[in-house]
Amino acid sequence: MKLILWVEDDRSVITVAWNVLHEEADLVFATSVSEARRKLASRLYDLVVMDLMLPDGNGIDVIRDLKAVRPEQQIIAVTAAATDLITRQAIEAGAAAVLPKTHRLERVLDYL
Amino acid sequence: MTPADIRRIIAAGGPTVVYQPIVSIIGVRHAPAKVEGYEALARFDDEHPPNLWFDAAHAEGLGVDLEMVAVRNAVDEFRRRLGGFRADLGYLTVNLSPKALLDPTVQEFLLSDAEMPIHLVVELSESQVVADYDAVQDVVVRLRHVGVALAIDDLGAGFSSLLHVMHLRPEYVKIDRQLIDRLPADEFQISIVNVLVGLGRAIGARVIAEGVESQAQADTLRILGVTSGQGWFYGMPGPLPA
Repeated sequence: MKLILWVEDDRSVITVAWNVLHEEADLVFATSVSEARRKLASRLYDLVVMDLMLPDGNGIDVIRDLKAVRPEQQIIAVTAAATDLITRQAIEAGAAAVLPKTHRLERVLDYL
Repeated sequence: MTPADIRRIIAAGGPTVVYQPIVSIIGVRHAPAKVEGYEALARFDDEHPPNLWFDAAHAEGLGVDLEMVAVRNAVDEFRRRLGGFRADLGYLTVNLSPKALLDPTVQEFLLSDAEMPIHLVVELSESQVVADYDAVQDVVVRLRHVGVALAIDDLGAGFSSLLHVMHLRPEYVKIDRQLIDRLPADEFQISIVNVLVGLGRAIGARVIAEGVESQAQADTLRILGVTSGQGWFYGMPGPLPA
């Protein structure tokens, strides 16, 4: 199965993501920028799903750093506030797409 | 390496100095690294490594004098090269022991030279225990008033660097090379660097990784959120660029 790192601090979203996707892919969760960076440094993932607003920082910075050293890394951003500005910043940083959290989460499988 | 040797070196103007670039690793991969500053490193004209010279000098009561001439040489050369206010050389870090930092002559030099067009950073080594942090703190505050910043060297390598961080709130922390030498394979090193980056963020200090020797190390450091690096991968110690 494909391996997904899902960076998300909202437990309810994590629960939904697990329920919807755990039979389709191996899921690893991180709930902060710091935890995400540690897990990204430790291994490679087929897909990274990145919340943009995290308790200890900004997911866009992580996307930018990750794409700089692993240009082939597939990343999609999810956010509760998908404004035009945030969407543009995430895409410029290297996200393949920006999905609102209210969207059907199984859509991330389209990016595997 | 006798006391007479040390006195002779001091009398002759001190050790020569080389400069190793410190680069921003936020830039685009494979692009030329952007130099943000230099560390001045003393070099002696024999086979002994510099730290042995300084240790021997301190054992003979000549350590502060030797550090003083080394720092003066480093600053003088950097200032000469700056000439007409060349900001593109970035900051200059110089190494000082706590004992040297508490010395009035060293303080006078650092404070009086504050008006020169150098962003000077004092790298506090942890080669000595600090008995009186209040006194060091007082010096650090006075240096900050004239624009001299503080870096804690070899973070994680010894017994006192976290105490330095706690008491002195540095602007820069330098992660010791022994904590990154097995990246990216070593999970434990990944965790330790991850924690130190968090520490730097929490206290508002810029984090510099020392001893970076490979692209794989550099990539891992960037993923971990380290913003600056130093090591052979980025540039060997040598003369300042022309």
